[in-house]
Amino acid sequence: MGAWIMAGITFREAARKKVLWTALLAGAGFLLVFGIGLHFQEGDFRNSSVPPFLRYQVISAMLMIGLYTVDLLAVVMTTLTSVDTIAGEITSGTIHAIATKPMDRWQILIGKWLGFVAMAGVYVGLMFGGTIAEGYYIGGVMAQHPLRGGLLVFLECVVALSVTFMFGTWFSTLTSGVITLGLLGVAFLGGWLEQMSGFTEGSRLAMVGIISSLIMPSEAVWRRAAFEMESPLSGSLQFSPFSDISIPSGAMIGYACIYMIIALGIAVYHFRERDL
Amino acid sequence: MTNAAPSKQLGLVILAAVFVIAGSMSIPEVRNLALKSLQSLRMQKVQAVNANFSQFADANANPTLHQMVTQMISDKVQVEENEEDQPAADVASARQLAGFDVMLLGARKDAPKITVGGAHKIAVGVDRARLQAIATEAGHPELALPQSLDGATVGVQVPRSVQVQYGTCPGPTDASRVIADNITGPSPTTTEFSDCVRLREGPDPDVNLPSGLDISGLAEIGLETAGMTPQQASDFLHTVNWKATLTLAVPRALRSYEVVKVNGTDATLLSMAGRRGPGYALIWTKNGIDYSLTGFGDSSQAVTLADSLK
Repeated sequence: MGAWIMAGITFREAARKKVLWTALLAGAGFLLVFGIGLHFQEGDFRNSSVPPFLRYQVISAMLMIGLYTVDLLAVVMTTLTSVDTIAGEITSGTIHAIATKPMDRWQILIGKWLGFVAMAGVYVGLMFGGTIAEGYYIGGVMAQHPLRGGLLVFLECVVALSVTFMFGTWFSTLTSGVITLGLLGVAFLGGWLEQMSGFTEGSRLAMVGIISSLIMPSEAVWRRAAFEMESPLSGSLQFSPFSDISIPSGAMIGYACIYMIIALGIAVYHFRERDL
Repeated sequence: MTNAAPSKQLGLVILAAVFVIAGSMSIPEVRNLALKSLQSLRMQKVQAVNANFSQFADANANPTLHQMVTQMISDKVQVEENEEDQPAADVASARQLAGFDVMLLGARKDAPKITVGGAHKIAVGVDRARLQAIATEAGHPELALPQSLDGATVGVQVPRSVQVQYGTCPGPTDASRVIADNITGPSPTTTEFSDCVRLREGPDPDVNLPSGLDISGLAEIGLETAGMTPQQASDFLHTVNWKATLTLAVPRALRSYEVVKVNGTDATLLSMAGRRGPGYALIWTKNGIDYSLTGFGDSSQAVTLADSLK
């Protein structure tokens, strides 16, 4: 019960601090630019003799790039908006006002986590839904399995959130942010290196990508989402940067879930044990 | 002091764990197990061997049409036979190995390099949902593929062929290498290989199709993907036996095509507009044997060369 109260407070506080609104405003800006781009591309295609299915592939590739941008925005927004919640409140001493309430510490942490999970869900839902709707109504293309893709992007945000919380119980706001963004950078680079391994079918390069996805599974979760959403022709004929070169398996998604649970477990444990 | 002790302990535990993991990796069984575990984190494509049908593919070649079509049908490709190519000392030994009457270009006086291409047999499991999505994307949403098609097998059997190469030609490569070369390596120019001519000859591939699968339609999509207009792709498949096209590297940057006569038989002459790669490809079928003549020089030589076949 305490955790749910805390979740509600966290959500309302984020709205009061305008964090949620500024993130949504940035998202609206993205949707506006993406929609204008799609509109112009579609108009140019109407005046050209490009075959319909090639047109479809190009617009599909644009949609995938749009969704990838949403993914990156969502993960970074989740990290940036949540990084101050534990670490900042410990540093400023605000946590004393909350921790003295008749509420176990784990409820405080889980409550805050749930609040941010809800925010990430709203953000991903709106941005993802908006991008897919624009792709459909302006470009006439549809992602293959948008629900699966959206849920995987949401999972990616929750993984990033849990890692941010874990480091937040140890380090200051700045340090936690730097470490989490650094890990996201490792995952990003590893994912692209793995994708590049398709050019030379290099198993060692692919292995670098796999190992970096063990360190931080965020990019691997996106790659799976891209595989689920991408047009089969585009994926199999390697039209787009997200083509089917090295696709994370169900086991990788399972690993990401376990990773998230462990990160959250460590955060709860350490928050309970540490001196505030 | 009290806070430092657990941190030190944790550091020692991590260090010990790193040593244990590093040490255990020196045991082959453990290393193999770790490798398998890591590989399980990625989807395994059922493609045991990469059947490369275009051993003489130039540095600017597209994948073969067969590769494009099978990739459209499914990821589940089982290679049942994948013979290695063998060099042949002369035309007599090439005939013996290939099992058909091998011809050479009489108009070329330089010694050719002859290779007998191995036989290949693959089975592709049809993914109906994927095919349906591709048909929709290709502008044919009305094309309803029967449910019975899902999981059905397409069999492609390519008999032994003979590849004859004259002059200085770019080395063999594969599709991945092409992209890597385009990024990092020096680009071969058309003039560099202007005396290069390649002749491929071999019987039609044997293709077993489940009912309801229009593979020539997929070949048309493959050709459009390679840069042909829908009209060009359709015309091309009307003038050339589509089975014969399966073993061809898909021509791209097509400038023009025309129907010509080679020793009294209809042939299709494709002129390519690419800065690099071959300048033309001449394709025809005679007495059950498919021929393709690819050259880096002027396409006006193509018919004369083909007429000199003996």
